[in-house]
Amino acid sequence: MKLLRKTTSLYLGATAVILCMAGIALFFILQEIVQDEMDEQLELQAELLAEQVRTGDVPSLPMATITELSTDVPPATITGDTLLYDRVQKKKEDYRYLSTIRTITGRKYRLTVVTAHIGWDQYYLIIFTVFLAAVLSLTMAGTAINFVSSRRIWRPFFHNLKALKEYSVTSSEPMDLMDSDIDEFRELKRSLDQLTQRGRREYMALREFTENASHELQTPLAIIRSKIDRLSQYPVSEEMAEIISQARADVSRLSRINRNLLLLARLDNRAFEFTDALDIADITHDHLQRMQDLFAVRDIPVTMESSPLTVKGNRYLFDVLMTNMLSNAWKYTNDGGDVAIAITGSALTMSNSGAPLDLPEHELFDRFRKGTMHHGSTGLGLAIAREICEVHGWTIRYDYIHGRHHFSIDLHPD
Amino acid sequence: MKLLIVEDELRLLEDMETFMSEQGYLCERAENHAQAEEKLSLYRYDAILLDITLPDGNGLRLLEFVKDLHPVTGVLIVSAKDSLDDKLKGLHLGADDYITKPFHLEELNARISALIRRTNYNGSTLITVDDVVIDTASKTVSVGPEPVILTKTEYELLLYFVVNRNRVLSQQSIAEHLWGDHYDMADNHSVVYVHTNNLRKKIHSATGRDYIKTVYGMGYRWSTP
Repeated sequence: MKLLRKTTSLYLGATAVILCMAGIALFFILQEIVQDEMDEQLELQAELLAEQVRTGDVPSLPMATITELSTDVPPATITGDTLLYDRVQKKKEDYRYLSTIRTITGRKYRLTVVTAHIGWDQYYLIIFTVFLAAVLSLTMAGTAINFVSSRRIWRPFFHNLKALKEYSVTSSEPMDLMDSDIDEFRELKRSLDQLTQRGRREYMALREFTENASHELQTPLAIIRSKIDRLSQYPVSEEMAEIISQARADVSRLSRINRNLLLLARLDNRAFEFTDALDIADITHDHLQRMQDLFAVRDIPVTMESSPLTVKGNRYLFDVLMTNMLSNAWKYTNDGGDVAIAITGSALTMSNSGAPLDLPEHELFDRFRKGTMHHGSTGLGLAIAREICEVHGWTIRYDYIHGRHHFSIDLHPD
Repeated sequence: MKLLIVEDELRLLEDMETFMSEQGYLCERAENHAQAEEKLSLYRYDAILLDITLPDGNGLRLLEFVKDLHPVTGVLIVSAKDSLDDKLKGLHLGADDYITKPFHLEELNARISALIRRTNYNGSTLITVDDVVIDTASKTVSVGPEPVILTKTEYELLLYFVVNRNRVLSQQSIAEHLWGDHYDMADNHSVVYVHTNNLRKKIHSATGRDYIKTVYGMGYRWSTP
């Protein structure tokens, strides 16, 4: 529920309750006053009637009754409501009566005077209508005020909310926040400013750390590698050869992981320019040429169909992308399978036959996710491929259809 | 051939020095910017191995210094940074090649050897090892009068073996030399095996000798009998 609707409904609820109570109170107070007035009037009529009896006049009050009583009845006065038959309207109507026992010139009389409740029902209706109108007016006024305030007063809030939704700590663009003359919103804006600046600072420090750490690791890795190379020049037993070979394989892997992490850090850094004109078919062909030895050894035929396509991008990154996609295809194509590359429209599609993924599809492009078949791989190839597509504004998608893995990159040519 | 190795990491410097000395180079070392500058103003070198991340100054300035003093001296930049900007900057300033840490010593050797062949205009483009003659200008190979027909990959592989003769070359070292180390091929050595085997057969049928030996668990070696 929106804050506006919440506060409005609470406010309107409270208003309705208060108005109901006020209406009820008003009704009873009015009733009390009117009744008192009527009783006073009836008393005055009774007094007049008594006077007429005393002077022997003919009683002239309508609907008044005079009854003579035995002398032992004590004097008393009662008032009450009664229903009397109206001969004209042919229905019973509400009346107020006053019945008093008086001693006039030594004789006891019961004097009863009545007066009509003139349309109490109408009072109810009028009070109800007036208050309903008040409630409706308040609702409409509240809604109108909220509508205006949501457009005026809340504008900075919604603007900043949108900016926050779109904000990424990896972006170098500062967050575009709107100021407000409402204290709470100003406070919120200040906090957001501080939060994003701090986040950005810490992110930068972390990124710098990643890059520095990767650089620092390169030299010790170079030393380990050269020591292993030297060690392997000496005559060694088969067992030792095995151990040295394993150590070397993992140094190679470590070095590749490190290099890939460095590339990812630099991709996060957006430290690239995208001004090269990339002839996609031409470059793809070069890569296939370079990798044909590798595919030939596994007896994997590679077919390519292409239409001319040139896009703007970074040549180095596109080379890395092609290398990663092709070595991925090389690794995961089944024996006796094949690889097909197609450049159609703005899309570069690479597909290869092979067993289904042994990891969830949505994790395919995550860092350090890899199939169980290849323990030696770094698990960063596709993560890098996705990042490269992202920095170029391209999209990459994966599908598994009829036993084939499809990777499609939409290159959006200008 | 005189070589100056500029590297601040002592243990790596020792390995490079030992290895390059074994390959027949006369090696001198400099551990920092000042030492390197001093040596460069006193002596002339055929090639310089330059680590551009030195503690007392940017190696790129040293590169400018060398190129001012001896423009023909070949410079191979060694860097921990696999960054294209640095590479382009280095090459723009006159470096002849660029190698990123960590590298295989054999790769370093192959690069130095190629660099010296390129910068030494008066030198021969022929490499003769045992009965095999490689013409690096025309990229052809012959045994006696007979040409040996090799694929591009086999030619590169032969050159790698010959430059690093009598040395065990690991499968990783060979694979990275031929295809670069970006392919993330994990431990798949079948590719190296296939190409090495093809080369071995061709050399064997041309010379009647089996120069390329398998070193169990380690890799391959070109050994002169």
